[in-house]
Amino acid sequence: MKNLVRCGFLLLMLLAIHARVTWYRLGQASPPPLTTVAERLTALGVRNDGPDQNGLIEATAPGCAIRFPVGMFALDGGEDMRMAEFVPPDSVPLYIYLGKVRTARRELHPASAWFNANLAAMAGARATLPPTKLVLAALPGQCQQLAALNWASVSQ
Amino acid sequence: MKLNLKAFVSRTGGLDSAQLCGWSVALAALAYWADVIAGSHAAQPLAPAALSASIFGAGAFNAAAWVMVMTRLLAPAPARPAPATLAVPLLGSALICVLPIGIALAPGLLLLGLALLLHTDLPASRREAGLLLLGLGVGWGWPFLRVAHAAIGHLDAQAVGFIVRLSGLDVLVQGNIVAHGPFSIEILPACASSSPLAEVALAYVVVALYCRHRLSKADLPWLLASLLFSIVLTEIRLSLMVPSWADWNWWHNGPGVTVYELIALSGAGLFPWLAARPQPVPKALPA
Repeated sequence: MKNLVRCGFLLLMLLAIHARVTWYRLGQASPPPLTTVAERLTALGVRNDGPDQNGLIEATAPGCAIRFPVGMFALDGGEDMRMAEFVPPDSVPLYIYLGKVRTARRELHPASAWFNANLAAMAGARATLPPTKLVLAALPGQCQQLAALNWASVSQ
Repeated sequence: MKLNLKAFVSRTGGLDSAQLCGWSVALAALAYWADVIAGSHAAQPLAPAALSASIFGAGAFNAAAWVMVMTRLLAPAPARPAPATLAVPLLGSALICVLPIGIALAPGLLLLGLALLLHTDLPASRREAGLLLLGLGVGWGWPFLRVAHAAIGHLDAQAVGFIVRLSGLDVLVQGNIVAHGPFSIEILPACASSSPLAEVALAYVVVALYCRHRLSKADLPWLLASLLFSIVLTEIRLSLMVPSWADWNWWHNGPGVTVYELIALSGAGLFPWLAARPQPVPKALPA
């Protein structure tokens, strides 16, 4: 019985190492989040030149002459003040995280989605680790039709 | 279902407390350092340079704490069967430590530390190891409390605004942003004064135990003084960043970082050393 307990601990040690190697590989396989967002915007038909030096994407969409900003901000609330400054007057903010789209930050509740996505990655049901930042798109108020795009696909 | 403690104890195969502690701590140590190495995101994390960078990057007090945990576990202990009140939390912590999600290690280490610390049947060496593991668990989980640090960042901004105004500068404070003219700093969770406190507390335990000091309630004022010193130091450093970009760069990225770290390190070591000093014996008055 003693040896069985010892074997159990050795097995747990091997499992711990295996899980961390898998985790490391998942982390390495996850592309830079903002670059991925830029690519997904392009797939939506939203033109952009990719992220600039300040981590900001300037975008334009068909049927709307006004350029609008898209950026990524920490889930933890540390960048909320900067996020408030990010949205120009007369714009409609869209907060996007893992397929969920909301117009108010407080309605997003990203923590549970982040945790579930981590579990899914660990179980092999997800190929990459979830981003630790949400996407904020500040749509021009004059281009209401842009809200109809599939923004949920920008953060998956 | 009723838990039959006696039956459970007999089922652990008579594995004694010391062995069970040893296995549990070895698993936790393995998970801890594997997380540290995997978290480095180096292309070759097991290459010697990356490996040493990971270990040094984890912090000197963390490495010292683990060395001290191991030395205490190697100290001789009487062979007693592990009771269920010890075996259950140790096995629970072992299962938690297997999970690769970074934050899982914190409850795993906390459970392990508490199990050793609160188990009065264990020798002092194991209970000291429990205290160190508790400190390591708090230290590991502390950065994950980012929402709390973000809230503290708002208070820090107010404190920094107050300090800077005392020096005659006109600053505007809005949330966690302190603006001086066109230049502003944003106090992010990792920059908040609460951020280094777990490391300061761990440093206190490590230095005190290294000085062979038996921790007691009398240490509380010294520990609080150590934490307060760290908070004041962070507020001063943040205040010195406010005037201009050049000041921010010096204190945030330049030699100011070393200056801050040396003072912080001195404070973290000084308070437990003062607490551990042998008290002078009062001279007996002549009768």
